[in-house]
Amino acid sequence: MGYEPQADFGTPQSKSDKSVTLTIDGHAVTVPEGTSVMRAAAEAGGSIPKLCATDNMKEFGSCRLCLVEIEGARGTPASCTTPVAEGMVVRTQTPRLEKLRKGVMELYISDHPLDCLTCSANNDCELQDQAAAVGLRDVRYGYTGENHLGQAIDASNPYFDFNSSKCIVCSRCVRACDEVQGTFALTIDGRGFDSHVSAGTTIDNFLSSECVSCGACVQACPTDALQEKSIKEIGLPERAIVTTCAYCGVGCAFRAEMRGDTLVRMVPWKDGKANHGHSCVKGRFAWGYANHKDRITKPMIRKSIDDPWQEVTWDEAIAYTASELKRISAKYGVRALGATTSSRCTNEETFLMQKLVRAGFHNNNVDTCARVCHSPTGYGLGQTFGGSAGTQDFDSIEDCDVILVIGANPTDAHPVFGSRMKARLRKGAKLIVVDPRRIDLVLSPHIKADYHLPVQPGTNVAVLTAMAHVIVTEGLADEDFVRERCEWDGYQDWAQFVSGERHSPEFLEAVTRVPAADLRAAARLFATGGNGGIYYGLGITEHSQGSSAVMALANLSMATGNIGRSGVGVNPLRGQNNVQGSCDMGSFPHEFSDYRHVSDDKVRKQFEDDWGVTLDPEPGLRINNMMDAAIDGEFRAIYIQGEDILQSDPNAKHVEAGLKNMECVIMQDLFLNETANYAHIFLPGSTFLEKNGTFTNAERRVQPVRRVMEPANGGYEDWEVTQLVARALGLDWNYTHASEILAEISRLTPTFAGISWERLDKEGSLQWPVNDAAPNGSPIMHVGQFSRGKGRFMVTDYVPSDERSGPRYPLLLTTGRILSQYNVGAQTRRTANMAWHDEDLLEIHPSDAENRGIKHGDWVRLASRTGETTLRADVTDRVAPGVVYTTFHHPEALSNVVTTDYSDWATNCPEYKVTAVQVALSNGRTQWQEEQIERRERSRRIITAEAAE
Amino acid sequence: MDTVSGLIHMANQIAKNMATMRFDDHPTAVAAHIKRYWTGSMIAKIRAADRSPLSPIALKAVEILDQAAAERAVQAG
Ligand code: SF4
Ligand code: SF4
Ligand code: SF4
Ligand code: FES
Repeated sequence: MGYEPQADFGTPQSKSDKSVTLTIDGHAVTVPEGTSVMRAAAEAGGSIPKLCATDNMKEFGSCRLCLVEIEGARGTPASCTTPVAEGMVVRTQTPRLEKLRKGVMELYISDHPLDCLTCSANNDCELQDQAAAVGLRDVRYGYTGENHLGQAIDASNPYFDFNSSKCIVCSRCVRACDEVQGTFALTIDGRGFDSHVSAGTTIDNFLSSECVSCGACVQACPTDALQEKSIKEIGLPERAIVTTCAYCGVGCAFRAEMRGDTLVRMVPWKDGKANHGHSCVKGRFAWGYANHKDRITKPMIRKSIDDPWQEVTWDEAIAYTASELKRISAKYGVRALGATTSSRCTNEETFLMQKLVRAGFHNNNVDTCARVCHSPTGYGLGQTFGGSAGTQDFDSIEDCDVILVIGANPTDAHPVFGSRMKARLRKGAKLIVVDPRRIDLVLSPHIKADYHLPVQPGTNVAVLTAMAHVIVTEGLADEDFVRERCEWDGYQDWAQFVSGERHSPEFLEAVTRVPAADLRAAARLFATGGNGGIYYGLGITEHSQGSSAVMALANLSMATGNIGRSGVGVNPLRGQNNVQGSCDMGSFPHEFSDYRHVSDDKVRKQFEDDWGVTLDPEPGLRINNMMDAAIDGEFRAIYIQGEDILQSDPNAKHVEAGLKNMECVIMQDLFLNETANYAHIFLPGSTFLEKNGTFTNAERRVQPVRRVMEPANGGYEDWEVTQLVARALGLDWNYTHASEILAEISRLTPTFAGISWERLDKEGSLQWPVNDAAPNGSPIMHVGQFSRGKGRFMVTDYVPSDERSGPRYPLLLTTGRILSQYNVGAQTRRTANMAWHDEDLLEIHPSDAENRGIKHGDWVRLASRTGETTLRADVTDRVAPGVVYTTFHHPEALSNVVTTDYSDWATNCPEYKVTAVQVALSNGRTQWQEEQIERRERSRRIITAEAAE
Repeated sequence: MDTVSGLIHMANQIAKNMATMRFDDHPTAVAAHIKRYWTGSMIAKIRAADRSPLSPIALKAVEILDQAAAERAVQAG
């Protein structure tokens, strides 16, 4: 396939149901009412010259290049700002228009460098294309008059340059930043000839500005003025392959644009249904880790974790892996083995991992990193609605009138959806934020939350019950909906429970620290403000009452009738790219794909018949139980695919003790991470650019991942490595392509019944369930009736966490994520994203800092009952007094050494969000940090295959 | 927390959170939850543990698990 730029219709699509027919250049054209003449011409296959218009933002009408003649109309109106009308007769090509357009173009070109042949945008420049389109051959004004040539280039951003001498001041970048991204980082300063694009700071460069490097302006720019550095370094792409971002759960679709076998750039795909052509800094730019020098590309083994690694062939590595697994199974029993699947890997890879455990290890000891993030979502939504997934598609936000964001930080953790949310808020939707921190959504350009309820960490359930109290006792519940759609008896019990005085906002204020009046007002707004949509994240799930909080959200949505149509619903914002998929694929130790329990004889038989093995009917160990069992000497070998449990799981010392006690730790990953310090076998992994398969995003959208380059590990996609292990253990697996695994998934998983590689290839994506009842998928769930029939209210009493602050540990630590880094940072730390966040900082309120003599930037010791670490202080009122906050992206701080063993009562999802801590000035690293550094250094010693010969 | 203390903590936590939910019999619901999510060896460990730290509902739930184990033993002959 050659390189084809993405189509640009000039102005956005009209959503009107009404049609209008007009004539353009003698051809009848029918389009929706509200369409611009420019778009109508483009949809009919024509093309009107344009510069300031592009179809993902509102028409602007500044360049005057798109002029047309309309019968009966005066002058030559701009086609981008002129809507179609019934019977309109338009001419787009006439001698008069040709002359006018040439004149406009001459002005642009006379103030533009004439270095097309050496320009990095040569052949990918709209100015060049449009000059050719209007037939410009010469410029009457000459090139020597006053101009903007030779201006300095702003190269401050690590990923793109701004060359103002190539800027035609079309405002597309400014509008992209405003309308698409919602950051408002750019302005056009000055007037007339002096007007120029400004990043609006005294230094006036991109890096020091509010810019979040989403790349929307670069994509919008019609010239070389805003250009990716990679284009300058590598050259223009020759072909493009559509694939899916491997970072967060938004699941943005991208075109991987290639020159030969080299990736030149990732450009958001306009037809991507999750992102509609937008991106964030991670997916757009932070892919350099794929070729990073730290990447391990050869298998390695070692007998002891104190030995250096020894590079071996794939045959040797697989044979050793199988022999160790067999030895341990024979010596300690089959239940001494287990594995974890990764939410970063594809559905197919995840499915094979759990199949390996169930069919090859002969137990159910398989868990997933979703355990430590969204397992309460599965439980809570399963109990109440009967479906363990978010209820809406992302487009639903367009119909939302009141947005409740609780325990989520979409502009950092789900940036592209965060931008959609901001766009909706700018159009008038109301916003309630429940969060201990003042996240950006609370106050950002043109957005102000109607209510920010700064909840005390650990008291979400109390806040949600108090909201329910207001809704029920003030008669705001939608009882008609409840009677029709939910279990009425259960509702009455629940309503009676929440109506109790001890659940009133006033009574609970001492616990939640949320002013009762604000809470009452927010509850009223949610119940009466029109369509209410709930968006939540790990600030809900990662608590000892994570599952209760999810059920409390489901209760709120049912009680207010906000479920089963567009604009409403309960929406978990999934952290990693394939959290939804890894859960769907049967990665939990108690259930097969589609959330069916292993003890269900009928379901088990289906798998046994298909796989030709006998399966264990007893649930397996969860990851934290695996560590317990390892410490107790009962669990001896683990196969970890694509996860760094030492850095990401809570109570790192407990994880360390478990890993140290195992006889065989097998890692399959891209880099030697912190867990690999305790591993015996390292199987090099493949990046998302090197594999085929599918990811399922937070809106249940299954999307293809396509291989754009050869796997650097010698040619193996991750599922192929799992297959090698399986075959060495005696399983007769013969998959030749990920699509064959997807076919098996569809065969064995009712919600995937209608999904195939061929359909995804053709249709781009499908939202499960896709089956006979919903052959084209299900953008919105629980329409008409809940998956379980009637919705079920669950009484969720507030039970305080066992983790309490006190005199020794008086502050509460809560942890989270930041825009530029991803999870444990293994990928993003190996990119230029380090320019924004090169260390984890501890946010502390000025009053708490002052009490401790801590100044901004000081090194501080963060200590809890489980451990301590050091990091630098960020003194800010973003957090409330008594609360401190940090991220966990860097192994140097390894903040999970302080988090505890406490976890969600129903699912064991760790309570990352509540740890009692003390903070004090520090005089150096802790002993544990020193030990980790030493172990890391020891574990980086590699005897190469050549050296061994 | 050692494994057995952890299991007792978990059982008490499940009991405390389920206590206000709508179930015909709370200990039965807690026992069902444990059976659904715990491995046999975890259940064996809590059954063998000192029961004094268990809350009343959790204690009854463990007794239901005892009964189920006894019935299984009888069935197995
Ligand atoms: S990269 Fe994004 S945030 Fe930065 S200026 Fe461009 S559009 Fe705005
Ligand atoms: S930088 Fe590009 S998009 Fe922005 S005004 Fe200049 S030419 Fe237009
Ligand atoms: S929003 Fe998420 S999926 Fe989209 S580009 Fe960013 S990290 Fe990737
Ligand atoms: S494209 Fe219509 S005025 Fe610029």
